[in-house]
Amino acid sequence: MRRLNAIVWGAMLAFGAFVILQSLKHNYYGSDFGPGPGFFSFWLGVLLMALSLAQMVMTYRRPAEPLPAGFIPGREGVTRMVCIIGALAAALLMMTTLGYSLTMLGFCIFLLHRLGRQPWWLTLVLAAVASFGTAYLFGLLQVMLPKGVLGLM
Amino acid sequence: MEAFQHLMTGFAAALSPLNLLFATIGCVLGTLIGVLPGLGPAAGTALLIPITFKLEPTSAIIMLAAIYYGAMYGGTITSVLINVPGEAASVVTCLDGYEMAKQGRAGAALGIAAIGSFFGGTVATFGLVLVALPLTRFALKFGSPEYFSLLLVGLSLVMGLAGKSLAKALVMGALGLIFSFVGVDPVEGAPRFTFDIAPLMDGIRFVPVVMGFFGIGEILINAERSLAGVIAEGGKVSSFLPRRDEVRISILSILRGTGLGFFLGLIPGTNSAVASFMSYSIERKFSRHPDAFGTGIIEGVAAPETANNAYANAALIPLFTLGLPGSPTIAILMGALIMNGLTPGPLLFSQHAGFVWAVIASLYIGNLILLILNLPLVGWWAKLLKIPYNILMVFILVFCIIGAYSLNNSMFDVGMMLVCGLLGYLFKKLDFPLAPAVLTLILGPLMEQSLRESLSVSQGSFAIFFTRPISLFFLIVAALIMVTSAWQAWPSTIREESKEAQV
Amino acid sequence: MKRTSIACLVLGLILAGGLFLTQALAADKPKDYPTKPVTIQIGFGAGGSSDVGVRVLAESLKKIIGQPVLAENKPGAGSQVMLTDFKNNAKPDGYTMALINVPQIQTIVFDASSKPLFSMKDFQPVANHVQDPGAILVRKESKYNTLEDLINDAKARPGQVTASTTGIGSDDHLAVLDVERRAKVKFNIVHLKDTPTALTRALGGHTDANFDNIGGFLPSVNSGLARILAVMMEQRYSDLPNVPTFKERGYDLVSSSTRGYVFPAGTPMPIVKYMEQSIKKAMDDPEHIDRMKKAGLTLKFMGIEEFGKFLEGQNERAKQLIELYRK
Repeated sequence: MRRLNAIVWGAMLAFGAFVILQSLKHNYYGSDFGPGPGFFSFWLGVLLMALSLAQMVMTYRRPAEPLPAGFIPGREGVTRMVCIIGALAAALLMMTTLGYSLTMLGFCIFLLHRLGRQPWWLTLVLAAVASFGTAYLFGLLQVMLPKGVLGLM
Repeated sequence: MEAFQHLMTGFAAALSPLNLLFATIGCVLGTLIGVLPGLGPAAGTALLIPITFKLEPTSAIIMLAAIYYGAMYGGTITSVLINVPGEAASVVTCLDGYEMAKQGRAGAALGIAAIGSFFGGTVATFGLVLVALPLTRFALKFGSPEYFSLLLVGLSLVMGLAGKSLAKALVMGALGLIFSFVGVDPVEGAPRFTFDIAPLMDGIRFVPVVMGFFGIGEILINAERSLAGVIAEGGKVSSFLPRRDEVRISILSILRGTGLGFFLGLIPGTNSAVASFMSYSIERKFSRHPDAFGTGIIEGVAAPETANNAYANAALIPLFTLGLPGSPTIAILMGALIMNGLTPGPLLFSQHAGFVWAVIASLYIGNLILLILNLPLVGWWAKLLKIPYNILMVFILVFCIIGAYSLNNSMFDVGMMLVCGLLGYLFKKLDFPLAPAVLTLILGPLMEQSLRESLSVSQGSFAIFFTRPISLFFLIVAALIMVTSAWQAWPSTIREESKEAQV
Repeated sequence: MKRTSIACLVLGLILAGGLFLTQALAADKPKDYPTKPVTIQIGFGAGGSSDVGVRVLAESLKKIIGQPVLAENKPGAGSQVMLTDFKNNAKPDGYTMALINVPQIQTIVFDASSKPLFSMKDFQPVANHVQDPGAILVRKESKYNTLEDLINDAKARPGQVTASTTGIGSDDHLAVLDVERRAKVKFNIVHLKDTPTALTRALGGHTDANFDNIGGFLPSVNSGLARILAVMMEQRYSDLPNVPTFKERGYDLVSSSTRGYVFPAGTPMPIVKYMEQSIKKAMDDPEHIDRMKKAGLTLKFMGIEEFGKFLEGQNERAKQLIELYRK
């Protein structure tokens, strides 16, 4: 727990410093009246750093505690998460080239097969509904979804 | 009494079969728009403007208004069922509504939201009839300084949203503010934290962030554990009424939510998310068991949902009486009015009395239709949760992608949602509360803007906040809330520490 | 036999004549265009006055070109997000048009601090659609009854009279600066978020003079809550015959929010010309005229050349005024 706390508050501390550095690029006080664009970000950075420092000190003054049960996910859990994040990232990258329907078809087949553990026919039907079906529905509503190079929505 | 007679004539017009039909169509469409991702109330109403060209003005506005408050309710459904807020106002409903759904009480959450929405909407419309004109004069007294001080009251409530650790709540509040400062600053036009990325110039958009924090974050948390048994089977889904022990507290919450929503609706420039969030914070602040918030308690749904609908209906007051649209959706409604040859403003009541009162009467009827329509549907919506989570989850993800993309037709927003999903997962895991960050993300830009405006008007003097009575009043309220929050938080952190020390 | 050949001849002539006639009619119609829907990108949110104008035009335009016309909103940074995307991704094939707002586009292109990734050369002007004149509004309780009242008070109390705009770099901001330099006065400029906010503050008496466009003013003026001191046009505004122009009062000042359409640079000229003519026809559609009037949007057609010249003139004005606020 101690090490975890140190990492978390250390990250916050660093982020606070980053915010302060960024805020220095701008006027601290406005050119005409009142606080400028850098004013609030500067003080929020200071607040973040102060809170993080205080929490770090507290962490080391208190006796060490064990991590809460189940904090570190099992291997299966990690695999599932990586699948989801990976699929989302892949969809994000391919959407503008492949278009909405095809990307989502692939996305759904992958996730339904990997995590849904359904028979193949059901996976395909559900994926088609979630990709081409939604594309059709939103087309009716005049919502524009990304078209790919193929011109398919 | 004159108003009463006008209202009766209005009812006669609004109850004509055709207008009833349009109100019903509006309610159904509105609910769908709220449920479907990517179509917020503003976009949904805008899409339908061309249709209204072909209708008679009264019917057209009745339908648009019904879509507007229908969508407000529809947004709640996704928040409760799958933790995906479809629009800003229903974010806060995720906090307790989704927890209730996980415990098998989705029906009760949706039910109390429908009842609260109905009550809040009806009372606000009543206010529209009785006190519209004097109240708008009061609303005009709200300049930038009053507005800033009011928002400060909202900000002071952040401390009340703290869970176990005040420090974590403050950090999250600060992070929300920092996020909200991304973009071109309203003072000098200087781009802050934009790193030359064009989509960041306009700031971080709210909806992708909350979809990531809540929707994607929740899916990741569930995926990490196990996809089975995320949602408890408990109870009969058809039971949409609160438990007997919750009735009294629900009634009080609904009353408070109505008052707050109505008041904020009068002030042009606030938005419904401010109303729902402040109402949630106030409930928590005055609750006897503040720690239970976020674990699925009914007042965490009842109050904000009521406030949000009371706001929606009260926001029509400045529109009708002064021609001032308080929110983007109302602005679209105003556009529709103008395009139908009706000029909103004080003359609307005298020149088009028949029209105005028919629309006002239709607000009552529409709110009733919405209730009748939604209570029986609650069971059906809740049944969606019987879909195995590992399949439902894929659909939720598709839903989120469409929602994040189509709000602004931007893949960047989808990426933002993914990043915020990861952040939301980490924060949840490390027990950092999300609510303060979301609240400050809403308040940040509004506060900075109004502070700057005030200081421009006063030419740099901070006295403007203290010399104007309404502003001073809110400053005192904010100070009181901060002092009492600190007072309450102090002993509890010490208690917490000693408890932790024993472990 | 003879009969048949005469019949054939007549038929042939008719066919040839028909063919000729069709070709003559289609002289301004490029081959194979349009064969699919045309998209108009809007750099502003759904339901705003820019958006409403496009959607109303789309309704009439689709009847003329025989293909659906879709409106796509990509709001952000005063249309900078959309324009960047348009420059990078829109193909010059006539199926993607963008709405540009003048002088908003100039304040992006010529203000270095907005870091634009495109220049005016990236856009091929097609036609102008809307011109919403700039104007100054005061509430009915205001002590200013004429433009001179306002200018004299601003002279007497330099930097004390608050003038509101709807944002840095907006046409209203340029208009305030233009009034300042022409009348040699100094206002206390307050930038507000949008038209409704500016109107709310003006009606509540929190600001002294509200610089914005006529379209948004008409409701409050018609209902007697406020009055307009002067409009920034060449001629008086048809619906407000009693309101003077700046020119009449001796200030060489014309300002408006003008909205027209552009293709990506490099779009074939026949397509550009065809679209220019189609927009002109759509703007003559009585239904279109009626709806735009109700929406408070003033129509102003400018063709390819005229719109191009107008843009160049605005480039110069914007450069000078940007210098005033970027010091």
